[in-house]
Amino acid sequence: MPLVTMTVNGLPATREVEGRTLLVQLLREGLGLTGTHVGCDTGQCGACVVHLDGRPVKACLMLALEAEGANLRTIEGMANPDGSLSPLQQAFRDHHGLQCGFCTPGMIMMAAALLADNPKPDAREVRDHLEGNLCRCTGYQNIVRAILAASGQEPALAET
Amino acid sequence: MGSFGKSQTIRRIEDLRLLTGQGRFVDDIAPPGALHAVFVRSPLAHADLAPPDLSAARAAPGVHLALCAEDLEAAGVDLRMRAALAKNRDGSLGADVFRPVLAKGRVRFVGEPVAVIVAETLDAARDAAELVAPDYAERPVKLDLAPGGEPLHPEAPDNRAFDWALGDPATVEAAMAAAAHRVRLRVEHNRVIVNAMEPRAAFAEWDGERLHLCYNGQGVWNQKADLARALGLPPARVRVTTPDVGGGFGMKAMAYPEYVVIAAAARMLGRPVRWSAERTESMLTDNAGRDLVSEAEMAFDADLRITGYRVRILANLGAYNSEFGQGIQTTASSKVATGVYAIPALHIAAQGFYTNTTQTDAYRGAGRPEAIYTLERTLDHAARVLGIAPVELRRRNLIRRLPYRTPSGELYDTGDFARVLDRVEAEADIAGFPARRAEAAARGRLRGIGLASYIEAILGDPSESAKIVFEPDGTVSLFVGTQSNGQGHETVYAQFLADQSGIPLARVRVVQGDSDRIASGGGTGGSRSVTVQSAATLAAVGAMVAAFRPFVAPLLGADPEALAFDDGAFRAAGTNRTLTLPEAAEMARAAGRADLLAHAATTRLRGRSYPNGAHVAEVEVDPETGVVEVVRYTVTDDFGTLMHPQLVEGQVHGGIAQGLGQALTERAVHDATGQLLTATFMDYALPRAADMPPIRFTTEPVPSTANPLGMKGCGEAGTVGALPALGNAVLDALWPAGVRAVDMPFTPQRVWGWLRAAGAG
Amino acid sequence: MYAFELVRPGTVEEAVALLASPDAQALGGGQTLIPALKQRLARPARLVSLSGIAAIKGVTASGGTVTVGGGATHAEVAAAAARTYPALAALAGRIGDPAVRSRGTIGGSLANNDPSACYPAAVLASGATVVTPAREIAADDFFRGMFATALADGEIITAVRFPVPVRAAYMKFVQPASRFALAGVFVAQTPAGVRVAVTGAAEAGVFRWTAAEAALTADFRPESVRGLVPPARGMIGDIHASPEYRAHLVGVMTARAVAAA
Repeated sequence: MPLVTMTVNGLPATREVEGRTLLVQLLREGLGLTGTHVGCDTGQCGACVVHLDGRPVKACLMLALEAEGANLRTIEGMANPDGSLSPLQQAFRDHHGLQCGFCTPGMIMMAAALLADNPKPDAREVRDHLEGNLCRCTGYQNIVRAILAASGQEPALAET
Repeated sequence: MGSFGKSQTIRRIEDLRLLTGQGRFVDDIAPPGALHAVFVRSPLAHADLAPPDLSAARAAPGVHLALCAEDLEAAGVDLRMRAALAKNRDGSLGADVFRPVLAKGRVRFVGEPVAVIVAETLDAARDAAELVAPDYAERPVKLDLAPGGEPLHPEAPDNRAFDWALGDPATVEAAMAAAAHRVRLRVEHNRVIVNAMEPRAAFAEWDGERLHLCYNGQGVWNQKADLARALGLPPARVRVTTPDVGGGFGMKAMAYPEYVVIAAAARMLGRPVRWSAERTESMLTDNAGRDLVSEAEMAFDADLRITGYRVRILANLGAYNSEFGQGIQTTASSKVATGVYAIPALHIAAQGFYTNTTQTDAYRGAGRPEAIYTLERTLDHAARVLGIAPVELRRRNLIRRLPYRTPSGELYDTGDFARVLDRVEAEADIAGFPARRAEAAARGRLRGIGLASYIEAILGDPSESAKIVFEPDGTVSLFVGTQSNGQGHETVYAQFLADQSGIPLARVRVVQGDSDRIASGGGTGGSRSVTVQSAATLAAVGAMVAAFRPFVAPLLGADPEALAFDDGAFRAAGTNRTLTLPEAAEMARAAGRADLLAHAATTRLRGRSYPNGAHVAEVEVDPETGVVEVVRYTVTDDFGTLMHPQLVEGQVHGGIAQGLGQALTERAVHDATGQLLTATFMDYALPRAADMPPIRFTTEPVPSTANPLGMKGCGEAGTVGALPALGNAVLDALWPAGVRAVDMPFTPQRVWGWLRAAGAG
Repeated sequence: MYAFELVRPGTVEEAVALLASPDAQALGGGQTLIPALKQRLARPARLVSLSGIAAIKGVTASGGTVTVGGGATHAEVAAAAARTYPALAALAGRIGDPAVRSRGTIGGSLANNDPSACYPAAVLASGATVVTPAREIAADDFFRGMFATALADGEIITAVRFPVPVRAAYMKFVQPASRFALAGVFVAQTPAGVRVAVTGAAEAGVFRWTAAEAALTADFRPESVRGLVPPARGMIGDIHASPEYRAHLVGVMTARAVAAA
């Protein structure tokens, strides 16, 4: 079987994979990084979003071998170096932006990608940016609040 | 007692793992080396089935086991799944049809499991599953909600599952005959697919003696009993656990065939076996919600007071009885059939039918959203016909004096429905609506407003237990019988125990979802969890304090009677000597008093609590495209005493989102052959962030008397109120354009079609 | 997915050689192909990934032409063409969702020619030229019906050249679940007249709506197409939209695109 080598959350990783192995399978089964979830078969739900060279991608719509040489970041690599919650994670906690937590890794990764590109999004931009991330628990309002708060803005703007 | 009532909002404990990728969902924690199960499922909605030839699959690379129904029977597995039955109006029970864990002789819906393949890898199991080609002989399909048609089951030759009724038809008929005004309305409740984000999943282990099933359900004890019965094991040899669960909403509470099958496979192989549904598999096999038609008729006197109400329900059960399928549109729904209104006469007649579709069962609200939707749509219709403002018609008919016994037998204990209505009217600025409508019209938009009052009846087991254990490492375990599906129980219960006992929050560990560690419990469902579990915990704290009192008194040099327990410590009257519970527990441990290190209590609530409230939705319709946008949303709730306001508001948001989904975007569609056309997220539209309006949430609490803390339960309320508020708003928007009837879901194509039919599209 | 071999050539020439084998299939960003493979709808023995070919990435502009590499992602186009061809950039910036736009490529989208894809409308309305290693294909000759194009087996798209119109805009009405276009209309006013391309609506895939083009060439105002609706015959009918509704939406989206251009 071919080998794939990449950097995952700052650490080098090399694994044997099949041609058909999805990136999400490699992460969950090959590397034990089970925070990246699979919520659908067709790429709509976004529970599997990770960062590939700084950009959000769906790990269920990408073959593992396509990540050769890439720099990957997953939910397991989002906390502060000392293990404490990052400001974005803390904002999700402070504003109750998660309930069951299954979609949350994808939400965090997608929100982090938004804030990297657009540090002060308005509520509409936040909602539009989450077009590919489904949540069945929260009704999204507290997710929007959390992302606005993490951007240093008033979370109540989520109600506008 | 402690500091409860301050409604302090602490941060959730579970978030620390869920936010960092350390959550423990079933498929995240499957044992190393577990084999993968894949189910072969029926591609047809109705067909006779010969025992499938599994030889090719068994010979495929990596395959360890392949089983059909006959193989399970040969291994001694009881195929039959259990289900509760409704009571027919003639006193007999509803149809008790045979539902096997793997299809035997006949398949009755697309997706019904026919065989299972267990292999080294998921891909190997899938490859082998393709080699199974069962011999199907197609039968005509039955899809309509009427007696007759191609029979699905010999036990129900006319496809009728139950014929249920409540109330006195003669009284209602007399009210109708004497009425000054009568209105009628027929409404449809579209089938929805629950789609918890985490698909159903499980793994099973067999150690030669005992079975362990880890699955993502809503409680472990029923599942344990099912497995013991199906596999012929003494209950003591079955352990069921539930780790983090990615949403359930009622759907995950029920018995499903896959858990029995993979448990049997693990026992046969002596190796762990894992299974996780794919999304399409979930859509085909998870119990669906709603799917019924209601015809309502309401009588009014000359003062527009309601004098009688009758409802005829035709409900789709799907192909089999799901565990509570027969109970949803009957007993569950009827509890709140008359809502918050003083309606003296009620008659409900509900019939359930089998069709070649997936089973239906409880979905967030479980019958109560359906009842309130029918009632509140009918009231709005009456307001239009009778020429009175919807808010005024409601106000005139509200129950003013409580407690109040409803015609369906419920005793509403507390509530101030008028205050709730006044508050939502003000918060939503209903008075300012005409100006907003005019402004929207200037932009070419049709704006509508919809009001709905609702009441909920908290269901589920009224009994619950709690156990408090002082562990050797200094932590305190709180064992609970409920089961979090994401609502934050771990935090709420720990906070509650800390408040009540003075045990520091950081020391409390909530233990749930393990049938070996907790003897019994009611799981999560019916919005019961916080009300029953807090009552049980409170009783356990009381027992604990009483047990410690004689032990602590001499230590503090006080009489047991003169010993106070407040602010989290025992206190000798007239002194400043105090002892906290953890301190007392360590002394008890040192003294060899093991009896003081564990305290348990079981309580049973006196009655149900009745959360209630009112929702106001405002929508704008783009008449060129039919798109409905929800632009304002206001809700006022009476949830009694709030335990954790932030989590409560989160429940409301999520409930409204699920209501909005059913009303606007979600739709399960079958073709004439029973194929599900909406079996992926490419065709089944869950609401997204941009579909949701900002929600304005306020409360007008009136504590319940049914539990010691005055709480009312909040898990399902948002969905109950949202459906009729949105339905009434959409019709209000379209009415001026000539549209006179609308049914969910209000998709763009349907809205445009109604407008065009009215000459306005 | 069935088992297959994945190869990642670094040059167009290598890719062309690898794709010469009949059981090989090109892989662009995979945002449509991977779900299809997961459903076991295709069984290629070898997938030839184009993601490692630097020569087909990037977006350049010169002399009124924007050239998009066949391997350029939607996100790249949304960013790089924002000033030079804003209507194209806006279209690219609304395909799928942000994660899909990180991977999906213009070459993959055009080669697949999904009847609900956005890019075919931009290519056809702009009168763009599709470039392959062997030839250049005019947009009017490229699209051959649902999921069919003028590409030969193994032929890949290395670039697309867009002449930038005087004015242009794209409006789409999304299918609420998949977010593909239920009706998408790209309107481009060029020196030679107005071109209107419609995607998402017709069973034959993207098409030019000549009646609207004539009306708008005469007078480029939304009012010129108000009430104009293409024939419902030949439109897609499914659970989301009947042929009549789709035809109606094409008219509405056309007027809105003209207003936005």
